[in-house]
Amino acid sequence: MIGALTWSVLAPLLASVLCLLAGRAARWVALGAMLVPLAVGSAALVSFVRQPGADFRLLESYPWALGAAWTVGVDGIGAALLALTGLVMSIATISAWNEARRPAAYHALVCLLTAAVVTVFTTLDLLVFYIAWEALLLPMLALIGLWGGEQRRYAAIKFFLFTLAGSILMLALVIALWVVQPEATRSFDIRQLAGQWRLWESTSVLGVSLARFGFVAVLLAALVKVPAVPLHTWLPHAHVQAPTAISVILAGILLKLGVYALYRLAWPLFPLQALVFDHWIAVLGVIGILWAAWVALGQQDLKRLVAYASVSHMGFCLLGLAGLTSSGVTGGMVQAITHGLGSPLLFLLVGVVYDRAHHRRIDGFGGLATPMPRFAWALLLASLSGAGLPGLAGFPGEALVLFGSYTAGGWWSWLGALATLSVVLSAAYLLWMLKRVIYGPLRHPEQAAFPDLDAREQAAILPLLLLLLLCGVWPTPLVAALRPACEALITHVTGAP
Amino acid sequence: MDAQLLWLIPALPLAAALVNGALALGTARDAYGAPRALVALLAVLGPALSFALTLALWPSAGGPLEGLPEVYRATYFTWFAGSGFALPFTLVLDQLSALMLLFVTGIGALIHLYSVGYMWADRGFARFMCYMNLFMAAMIVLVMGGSLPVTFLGWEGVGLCSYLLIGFWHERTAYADAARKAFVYNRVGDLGFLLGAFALLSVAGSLDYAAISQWCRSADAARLAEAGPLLSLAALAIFLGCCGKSAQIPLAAWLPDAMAGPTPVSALIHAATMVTAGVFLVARLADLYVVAPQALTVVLLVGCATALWGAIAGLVQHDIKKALAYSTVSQLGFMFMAAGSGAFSVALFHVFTHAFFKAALFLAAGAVIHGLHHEQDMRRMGGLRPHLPIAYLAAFYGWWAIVGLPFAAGFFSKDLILEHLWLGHNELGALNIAPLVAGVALLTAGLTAVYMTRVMTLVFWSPCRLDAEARAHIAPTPLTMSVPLLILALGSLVAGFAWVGLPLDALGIPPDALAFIKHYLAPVLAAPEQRWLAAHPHGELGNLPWAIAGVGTLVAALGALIGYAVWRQGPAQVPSAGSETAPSGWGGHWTFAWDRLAEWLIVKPVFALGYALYWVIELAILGISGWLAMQAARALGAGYLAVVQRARLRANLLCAVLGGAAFLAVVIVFVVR
Repeated sequence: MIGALTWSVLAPLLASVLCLLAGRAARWVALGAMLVPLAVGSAALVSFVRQPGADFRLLESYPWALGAAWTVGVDGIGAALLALTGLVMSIATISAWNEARRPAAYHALVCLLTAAVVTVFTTLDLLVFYIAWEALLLPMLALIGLWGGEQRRYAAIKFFLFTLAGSILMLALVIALWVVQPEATRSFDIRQLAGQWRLWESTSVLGVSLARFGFVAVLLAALVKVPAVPLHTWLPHAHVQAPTAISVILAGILLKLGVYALYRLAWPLFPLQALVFDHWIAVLGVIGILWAAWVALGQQDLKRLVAYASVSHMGFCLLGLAGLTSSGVTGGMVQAITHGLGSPLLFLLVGVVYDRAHHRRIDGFGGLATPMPRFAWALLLASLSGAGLPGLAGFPGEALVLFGSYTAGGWWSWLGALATLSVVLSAAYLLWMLKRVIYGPLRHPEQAAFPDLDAREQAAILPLLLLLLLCGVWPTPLVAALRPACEALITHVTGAP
Repeated sequence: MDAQLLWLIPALPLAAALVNGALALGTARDAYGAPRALVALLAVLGPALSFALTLALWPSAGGPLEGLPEVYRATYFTWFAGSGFALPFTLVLDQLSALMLLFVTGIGALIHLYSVGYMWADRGFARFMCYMNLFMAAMIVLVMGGSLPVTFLGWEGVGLCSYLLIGFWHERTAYADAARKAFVYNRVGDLGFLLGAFALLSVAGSLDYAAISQWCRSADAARLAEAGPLLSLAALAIFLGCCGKSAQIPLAAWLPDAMAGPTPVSALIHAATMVTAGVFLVARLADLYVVAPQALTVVLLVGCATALWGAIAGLVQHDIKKALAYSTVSQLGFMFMAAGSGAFSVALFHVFTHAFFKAALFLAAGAVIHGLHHEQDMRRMGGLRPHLPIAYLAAFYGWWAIVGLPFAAGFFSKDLILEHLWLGHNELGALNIAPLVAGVALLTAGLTAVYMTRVMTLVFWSPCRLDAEARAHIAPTPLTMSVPLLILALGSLVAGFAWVGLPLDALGIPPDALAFIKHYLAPVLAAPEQRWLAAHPHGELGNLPWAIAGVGTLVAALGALIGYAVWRQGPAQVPSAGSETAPSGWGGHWTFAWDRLAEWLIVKPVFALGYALYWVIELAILGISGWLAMQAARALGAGYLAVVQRARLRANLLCAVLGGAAFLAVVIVFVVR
């Protein structure tokens, strides 16, 4: 029997073929397929909330060749990310409901992308992980390159090359790990590989240990995706050129892949290396937080501002993970999830005004709260969440990460103090944007006729808004589901030396 | 009454806010808006019931004679937790939070009632009431929070409501700017709050107020010396947060701009309650501040400088609300001076009296503005006493109290502050600066009398400068506004007796019966105050209270006389309607000194750096990396990239779907096997 997690991959995969046949009904097929990972992920998440544990659930394993296997299973982290994937993909589908340019092909590609992403988040096999990790680039490349804005090809190729270049070493790693294992017990099972970390430490490749090589390889692949400054330059461009729904997916899901690779591969497989590099990664995180926030202050384009805000918020994931305190590691993951709710919401709202005004210049708006009160409310809440206001989803992740840094003591405290500066910067750029977009007098008279959010837009925005409130007011279930897996990771890494 | 009922105190206004918010959203497109009577009823009922509940749960005075104080404390749930780190949602109703709640909910309910009259005709009535109720809920959480994080929740909540209410008429650019400025200034303070909280956590191991106090009280000299720098840092950082919320130098400049909000907002948030949260927090952490004496000296000096600056700025304003705003800034400085000299309960006493007389003054100003159809320029008023008798009455008692003439509320609290400053002992290097500060405070008290008398003279006592038509159209004060005005006027007159009591022996009432504040806060604040006194002994008291009261009264009377004499004829020139009200010349330089300093030292450099990072470094990296990418793409040339470049959809899709199908096939083969 095929289990729930395999169905979460199969459903969008089958749907992608069906979409091509379904013509105009493709959007229904796609939406239906997205609901499968959403349902499975939510059910898994609920099970981790009710019975917290660091174990993998919904396990299935079918052996394949070369010691690889179709092994799927989720811990708290995987469950949360699976649910988030289903949610964001459904919302992206709703937001592209009226896509007029080749809708069947569009939805087919999004389904394909979903299948690949779900595979990454659920598989426990390194080879399958790598294949899916690379495979998801192709539909993404096509989606930006064919449905994007004026400079779509340039943006698509840049995205593709950056992420491909980042992960090219991972292929070498996959092969190397296979080669050095004893022939009898060769496996790609990530759990098994994590237990053999001493082997890579003692194997030398071209003068460095295989472990160091492997850690750097995964790190590079992950940091490009997160993205960490200075590897982030593909992101603003990709966002600006991508259509709204693709920006939603980029911000909501694709960036999480990087964080997930660190949590699932880099730290468990190479614990000693993680302890060597953790300071540098934390510094990168803090640089990202401050740099991107500062750059966001100088933006004129609404979407680029949100993109830089996104980079800034993702820096907290790095800082939290690197500190290896329970609060920090859990907080980094909480931040990844809540950012996956808040950032897509902001991109959806940018898309709303873009659809009406056909531009995204911040100074080309003003006073939109009068003709579009619901839009203004949603933008206000999304921005305040981004600014880390307690009671909204942006707060718990950042608070936990900062708390983790402070309790780690020593110069971690100083890193935490620096990162805290973002409470001022994020308020400055987001409120400045709010003031220029929705407050003040109507500066462009034609905008008085802008209709408020329609039913489709509300259907996409409302679930995110409600979850933003829920995760802010009552983050305990999410934290409880993520914590055991994060603490198991810490035990594994700190127990290594 | 059960401690488990504590949650109802913030929940009642919150419920009202939610219902009113739903009504406001549901009727956003409706020409008439939400049903006003229902909205008004809910809006007033929420805070009024909280007030009633506060009284019902009122913790007894406690004190050394009556045994342990009665304190309500309830933990409802854990907000969220890491290991070794939990944020329990704990509410506390001890004497300190009860005293704050008393006027927060009491005066809050009155101002809600006043708002019903003031905002009735406004299109966004329901939205306004929703924000006001939300503010009440947040302020109550701030005050009742049992730990720094819960207080922070309320702290940010009141900041948000302040932002929404300052920008309530957001179509006006200046108002939207003022709202943003308030929020960002507060955020700078919040940075301090967070850093201080984290520093405190690493010292005391907890964010719970009781645990922090316990740690500070029980730590021996060696531990204190070891933790000294970090403790001072924590105290100073948290004080930065207080500076943001309570508009102290260097974060003072947002409060006068905040007068853009509707006048009830100015009265409730920017005079009586929210802006005193900083003073409250210093008092809440009194145990921390007395073991960080340098930090307390900074509190004293900042309060002193702000009081003087605000009083002088208040002297040159033409806009009636701006004048009152600078007055609030100055009065908050007085409160911090009291806290800085270790007299935390005196600081709270001034918070208490100030809440009455400043709310009275603001609501009276609101009645004037309402009466004159949105005229706020005092140069265009004058002689309004017969036209707006209720507003005049409230303003008069408010004036009496703030000037500090005998027996109104401000007289007693101001007198106590001067006394503590004069006798106090705060070291700066080898110097005891407390008496110097007392001198500045006395001067500031005199200036207070001058500028407040100037306001009264320009508005009520000088010859009327309204033309005949405007005079005929002065709007009367509706009943919903008059009732709160009268109650607050009475409060301004008698609130001071809550400390000194009244000689009512003849009626069989013990002399201290009314003087509940004097000893009421002792269970919370007596320990830190006595510890401070032990380390920084006061001078001899002797006949000093009478001397200080006498000198204070003389200075106040002199100031009032000067204020009346100089402005009794009104301004030299009456400007036309809608002319600039911001002071010019040296008054303008003085008023906007901190704005300009912040503008040039912080805002401009920060934004310039943002632009520089983007336009120089970011775009250079973007450009180079993009160029490299395109070169690489050309080199790779063929295959998938070329397909995309030529946008051959069918081939492209074929690639993708075939790849996917192959993947699927693999999966299925092995599943079936």
